Amino acid sequence: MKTKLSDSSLKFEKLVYDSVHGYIGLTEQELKIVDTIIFQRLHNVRQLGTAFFVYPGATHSRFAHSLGTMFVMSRIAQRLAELNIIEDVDEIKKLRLAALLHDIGQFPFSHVLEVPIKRYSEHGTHEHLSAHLIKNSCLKELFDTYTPDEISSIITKKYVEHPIYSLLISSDLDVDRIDYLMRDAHETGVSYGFIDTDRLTRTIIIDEDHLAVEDKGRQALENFLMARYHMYQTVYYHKTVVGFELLLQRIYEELMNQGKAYNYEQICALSDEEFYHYNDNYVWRLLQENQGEPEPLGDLISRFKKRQRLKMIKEIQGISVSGREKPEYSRLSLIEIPYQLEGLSKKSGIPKDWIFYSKPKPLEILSKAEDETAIRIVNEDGTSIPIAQDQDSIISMLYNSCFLSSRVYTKDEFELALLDGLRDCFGCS
Amino acid sequence: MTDETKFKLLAAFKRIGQRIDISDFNARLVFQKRVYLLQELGLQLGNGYGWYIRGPYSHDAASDGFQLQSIQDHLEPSRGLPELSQDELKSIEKFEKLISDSEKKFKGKNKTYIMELLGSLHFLLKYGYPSSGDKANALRKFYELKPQFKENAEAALELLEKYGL
Repeated sequence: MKTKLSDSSLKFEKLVYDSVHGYIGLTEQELKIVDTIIFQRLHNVRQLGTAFFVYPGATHSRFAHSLGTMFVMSRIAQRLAELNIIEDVDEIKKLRLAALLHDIGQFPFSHVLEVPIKRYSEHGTHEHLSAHLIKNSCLKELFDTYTPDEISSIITKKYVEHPIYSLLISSDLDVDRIDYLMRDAHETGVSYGFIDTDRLTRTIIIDEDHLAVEDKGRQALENFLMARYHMYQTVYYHKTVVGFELLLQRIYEELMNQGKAYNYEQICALSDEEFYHYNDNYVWRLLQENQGEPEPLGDLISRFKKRQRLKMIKEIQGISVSGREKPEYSRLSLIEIPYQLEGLSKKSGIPKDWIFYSKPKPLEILSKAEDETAIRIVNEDGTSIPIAQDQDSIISMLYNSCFLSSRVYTKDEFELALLDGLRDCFGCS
Repeated sequence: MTDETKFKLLAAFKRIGQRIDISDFNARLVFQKRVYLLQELGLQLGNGYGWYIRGPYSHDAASDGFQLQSIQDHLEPSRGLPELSQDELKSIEKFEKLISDSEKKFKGKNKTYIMELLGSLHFLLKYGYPSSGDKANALRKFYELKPQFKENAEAALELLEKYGL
């Protein structure tokens, strides 16, 4: 039987004060979930991985972010309920749970370790692990009206009954992004990430299964899109942050190869108690236990512990318009190909263990206009178009632009030899 | 995708004589569904797909498509790509047959139509309504969300079943 929506439908058992959103209410069911050992683990998983090496304040946890994401989801779900797009308070509760649990399976140091873990297991993503935990850990006992399958399918964007739920979880304007931009700006002190969350959540609308924003929310949306771009440049793609990410990834991969660090299958087999301990502290313990290992592992670990950054010896970055890349960017991309990397190593005399390459996903300011994740603007006459095509929006000028970045790192003493190798192998001066 | 699986995908596309093309929306849609079906037929690429308006979509596949597009022309023909195993070659062969059969079956329909039809129907059956007794619900939802494909849904279902999907 569907429960009708009313103001008192969400009864909060507890209020938690959050530095970004203020008071966040938790229902009885949500409180039980938060109090589990699986959720409490998130206190010891840093949201921003290795960013604290550059921004000392970046020590906030996935715990806070999970509560914040739930808060944002709740605001949007309530807004959609006011518009009669959601008609049932159970749907709001379901969305809140999905948001609360969307990062339950985050690896230590968040996305940093997902790279080496996924290299050895096609399922090795935090999303997949989150779904696994919801269905197999102590969490599975805590769902009453909804099944673990329902909640995990929303998180993994497989909830086909309401396609819009996928967009709320992952799109140009998803709840995850809204919280993390604000939170990361607040904790790092980088002010470019501050956005008008209130305005955004109050002007969101659904238009023919697309996420849209009303015209009066236009400036808030434009600010949000630019905020994301600036935060990526300043924090997430910061050259030193990326350098330490590469270092930790190499260390963890080597430890997995030696059977000293958990791979994905082993992580899935952990008991709830064991999984609680699979957090950032687990990694610090591994570093401590293996610091005496022979080269290169011992040196890599020592560098990470002592904040001895890798030297960035080559960087090609900039804005690409209409897919046109700098030729040097395309040439340097070839380093990803295994035989090209071997060639570079031979030519330069630098062991492959000491050649680090970073080429993050191109950062689009806006999704392509026709893409389903693209956000739309609803004009005063009720028609909507993708913001990328809206001539009244300054952000549309950035349509078809994306930020590209490509970097090579090594240790200081190898700099000159590797630069010569890059020039000889890829024509990069 | 990991680096290795990314190049495996490129190897698979070269095998079927296709370029990685993400130049416009239709090309991106076809690319997405090709990758999805190759994966479902057994090529282990590790892309997580979600349900969006035009059917299964993967952010990782989208991003890797962009990166592969720019390097595919720079590879030496005889080296650079991983060897595909016998099982992977069989998966690719199945994919080619599926596409060939579907082009015959849905004559007059373009690639975008065919790929969205096959990919969306398969996703709903396997992930939307995974239990075997739920086929009726999966079809109901398919007709509701994609009425433009209704006339060809049964034929698409037969094809998917023929290839073990």
